Amino acid sequence: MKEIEEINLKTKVYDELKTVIDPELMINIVDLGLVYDVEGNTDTKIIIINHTLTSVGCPMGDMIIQNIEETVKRSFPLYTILVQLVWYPQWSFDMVSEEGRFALTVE
Amino acid sequence: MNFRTANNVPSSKIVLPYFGTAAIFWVIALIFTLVDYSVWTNHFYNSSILGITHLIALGFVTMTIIGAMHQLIPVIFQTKLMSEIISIITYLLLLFGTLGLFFSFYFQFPGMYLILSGISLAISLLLFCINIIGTYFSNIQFEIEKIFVLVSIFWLFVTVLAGLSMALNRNNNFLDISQFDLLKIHVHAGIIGWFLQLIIGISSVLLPMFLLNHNLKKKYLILSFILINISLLGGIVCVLLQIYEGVAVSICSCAIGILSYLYFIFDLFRNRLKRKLDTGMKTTMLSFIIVAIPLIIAFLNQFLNEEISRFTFSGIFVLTFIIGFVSTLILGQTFKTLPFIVWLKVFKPFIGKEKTPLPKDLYLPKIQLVLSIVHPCGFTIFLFGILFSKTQLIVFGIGLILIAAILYLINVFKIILFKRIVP
Repeated sequence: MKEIEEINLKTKVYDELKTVIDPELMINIVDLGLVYDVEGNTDTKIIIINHTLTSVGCPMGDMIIQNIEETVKRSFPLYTILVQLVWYPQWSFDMVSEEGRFALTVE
Repeated sequence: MNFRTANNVPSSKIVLPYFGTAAIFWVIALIFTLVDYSVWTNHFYNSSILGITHLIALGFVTMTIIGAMHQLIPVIFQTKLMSEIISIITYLLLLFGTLGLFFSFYFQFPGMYLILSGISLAISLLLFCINIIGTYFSNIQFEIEKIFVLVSIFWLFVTVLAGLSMALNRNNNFLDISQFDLLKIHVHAGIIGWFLQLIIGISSVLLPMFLLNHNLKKKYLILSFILINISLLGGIVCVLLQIYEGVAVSICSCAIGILSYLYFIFDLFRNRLKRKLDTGMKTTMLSFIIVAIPLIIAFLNQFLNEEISRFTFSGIFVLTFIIGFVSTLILGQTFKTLPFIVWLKVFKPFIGKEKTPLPKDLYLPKIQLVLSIVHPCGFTIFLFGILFSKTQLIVFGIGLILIAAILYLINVFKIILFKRIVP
């Protein structure tokens, strides 16, 4: 039962993260493959989001982090949201979803 | 896991005055260019052209570049800017120095006005150098992009030194070197050493971000760095020792260095992941095609050894580099960088809490599109006008460039003065 709840929670968090757009590329961070992992614990009420950026030193990085935190918090007000920026593994084109690839490659 | 924040963005108050002032100076410089159009068919070493050139090079290009540097240095060096107070002082002294130098040249007030303006500029740019070097040393990384930026600062210093020497030498004649030779050092250190190397350093960090390409052929950047700097050092020594065959070799070395950089850009562009380009990136890419013109002119100047118009090749080289390449690049890249800092200032407290517009919504895209077409057209007509000494073409060309500059001014101030509409 708890496992199903946590899977549902994770799915909902991913759905929320799809509304966070990279302002330069105009693609959501999930389809860009920037979200590496989401962990949700329904007992401790903690959601941990591991994500990366397309480039180290990205000037919009801080804004994206804040956007992730606030967006998820808005839908899960009782949860503590921990957003962790990670650089390993390094982001690459292989991580981009089919939708993301289409949006990037269409000329 | 390595947790790093990206919160190195400087305060908008140290960036916006530079962009706003630069856009105003660009329009003013073009109005003077239009009013005084007849000077563009004469030899370039006259007071009107010196005044206008300094207003463009310092008031528009340097002002924009320094403003953009304050925004981009934290991105390139991945650390906070050393001092925002120094940035404000740099701005004020640069403003005073640029105006002083323009009036000294254009209205022919030599002597103390020129020297005071020169000193003001020298202090301003020295403070800027200290700020950039200090920022670099707070997070030392030996990467070619960063080295380009750092070395461009050295050449900025050489440019200022040569310019100041010219101002002092004009009255006192204390140096055993002609004003023309000093001018060559001043112009080449400024254009190739400072402007070009800085552009190479910044573009090799930003363009991979915008175009999404991390497989960079940096060996071409390294080759470019070596050739350009050997060419500059060798060229200056040859000018000082009056070995003019050596100057030709140094021009070849510089040209190969620039071509090496252009190949780096071409490869980056060809293998980009983001295929669709916005107007800002299209304009930027156009500027890299335009940079071929000053290269060809430099070759013709050196090897044909004849003038095809009264306005010499040297003058045309400077014009094509600044109005053709650098200005087009600025007109494109401003809309890739400036909206972000204003957007962050206005919307940071509301990110994720309410629907916010995107940085690209802060300006009028149609205006950007029109100016990105009108400016290169105007420049091409202006260039042909100078090459063939046709006054009508010169006036028409400058007129178009001025229209583009006014449109640019409107969009820049639309961004700077942007206010959030309370829902």
